[in-house]
Amino acid sequence: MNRKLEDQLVRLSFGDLTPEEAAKLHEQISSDPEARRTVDEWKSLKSDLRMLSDVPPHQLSNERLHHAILNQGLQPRPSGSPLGWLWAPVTVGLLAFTLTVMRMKQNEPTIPGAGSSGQIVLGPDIKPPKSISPIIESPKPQVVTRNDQSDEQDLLESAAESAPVVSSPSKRSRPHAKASAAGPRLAAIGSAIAKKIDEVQSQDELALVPAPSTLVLIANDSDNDTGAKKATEVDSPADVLISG
Amino acid sequence: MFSLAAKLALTLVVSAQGAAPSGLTPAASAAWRRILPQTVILYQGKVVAGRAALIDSRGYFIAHRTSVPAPNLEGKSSTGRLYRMVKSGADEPSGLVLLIAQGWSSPEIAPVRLPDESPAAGSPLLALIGPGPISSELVTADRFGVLAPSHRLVPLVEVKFESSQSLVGGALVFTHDGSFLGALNATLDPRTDAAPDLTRTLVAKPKEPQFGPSQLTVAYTVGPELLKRVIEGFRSPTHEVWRAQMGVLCKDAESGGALIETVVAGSPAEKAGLKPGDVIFQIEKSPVKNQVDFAKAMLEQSPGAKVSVAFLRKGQTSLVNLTLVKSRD
Repeated sequence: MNRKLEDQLVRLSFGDLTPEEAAKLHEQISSDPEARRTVDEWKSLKSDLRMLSDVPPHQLSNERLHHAILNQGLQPRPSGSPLGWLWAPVTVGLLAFTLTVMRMKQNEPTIPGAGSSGQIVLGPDIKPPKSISPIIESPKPQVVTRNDQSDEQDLLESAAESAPVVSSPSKRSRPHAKASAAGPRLAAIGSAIAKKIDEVQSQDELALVPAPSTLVLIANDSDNDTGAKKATEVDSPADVLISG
Repeated sequence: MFSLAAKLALTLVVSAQGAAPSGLTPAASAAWRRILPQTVILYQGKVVAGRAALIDSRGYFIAHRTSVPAPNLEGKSSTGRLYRMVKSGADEPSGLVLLIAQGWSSPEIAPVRLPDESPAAGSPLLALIGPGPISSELVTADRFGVLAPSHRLVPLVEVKFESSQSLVGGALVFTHDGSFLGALNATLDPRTDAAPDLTRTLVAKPKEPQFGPSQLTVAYTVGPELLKRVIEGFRSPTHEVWRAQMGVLCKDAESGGALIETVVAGSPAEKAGLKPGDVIFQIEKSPVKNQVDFAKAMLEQSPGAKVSVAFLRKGQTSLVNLTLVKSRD
């Protein structure tokens, strides 16, 4: 299995794909037993994470879990391994420790797609504008202020759905809990994760897209052998500057 | 009657010249014979520089810059006739160049056509280098690249050849039904492709044994939409290709969106009040989850278009409207 497909399967297991992407990937791997087994193993890991404690659901994003697991160099539980059961409690313990440390960073914004709809945090004195002035030919670009009476409300409402979530001070107040806490908190965390998986699995039509994170950087100099410009792949393009 | 005779003569000549090069499948050979009349071989003196494809019946040809080492070249058609080829336009991001054949008078030869939709992955292709065609395969038509030094995002079509090829840069790429996919602009550095990033794999796997051909060349042409824009620009009276720009450089914002790193002085973005540190999360009605989404939204715009940009600054959302300017980069 190539690295790109593996990455896609992990994203599928953690609910990081859009419904369209997930359904297409399901269709693609329907004839690939190895890929299906990989997805099942990752989903088993997720169910084991229900044992984790004290991370509030709104701070427990799929991307953090994904990142934490990758950083720990964890492996999917191999099928049929006689000692496979040893992996689960070790994994749970390591993740509990990692997430306990992460909880202490209470000012980090959550990542979009973590289960909550986008929210716009407005200052107390700011009111969204109520209507839009039509965009008529104007030689100068217009800066729309919050006092404009315009159809901006429609655009802002649609923008609100995609705006990144910024955590507010009032959501930082959950007290630090011991790593061994269980009960209702565990159930809440597990429910949030399981709900994410169910949302993906229940979609009807989905489209597969290539791994979204791979970009090709094309240099300005040419390759002596081919006469073409040199290109390199970048798997993590987050820091690649793009103009527009 | 004369037109029929001309077509028949052309066909006979092409058939004689287009005897299947060795190594091509029958389908590829048939494709080669269809495509051959629409191309010319470019010469710089007696040296073959590359190939160019007919994009307009006025004698407009398109080639990659690597095939155009000088502003004036000779072009030899499939009938053996020589034309003086004058460089009349260029598009830096795609690397494509417009050549006009002086005295071109072959109305019976149709310009190349673009595909109605992107070919499927795995489609067999034909790549024309100076000496002739080589077989290739389409990997995907859904890749994106970032150009240096402009940082411009370009859609790419990824193509592979199952052997190491020299001088494939600038090769014209066609599907077997004769659709033109562009010219090879870049080749993938084999070192990066062969070295997996083990820090991202979940299981430390041993390197898989390799079967089949030991060398593989992966190369890229620009995507169909961009190719179409370039050809339209070359066909225009000014032979120029322009892109829309607002004047920012962005990277991923940690919590989603495109984080503005730089605002170009005097640009529409600066005039609209955008500043470094602002996070763009929507353009018109297109959500922007990262800097790639931002650039994709800009690819759909034209110079002079008025767009609304929603952004976040210190936790507050705002909306600005600005008019995009044109850029050659």
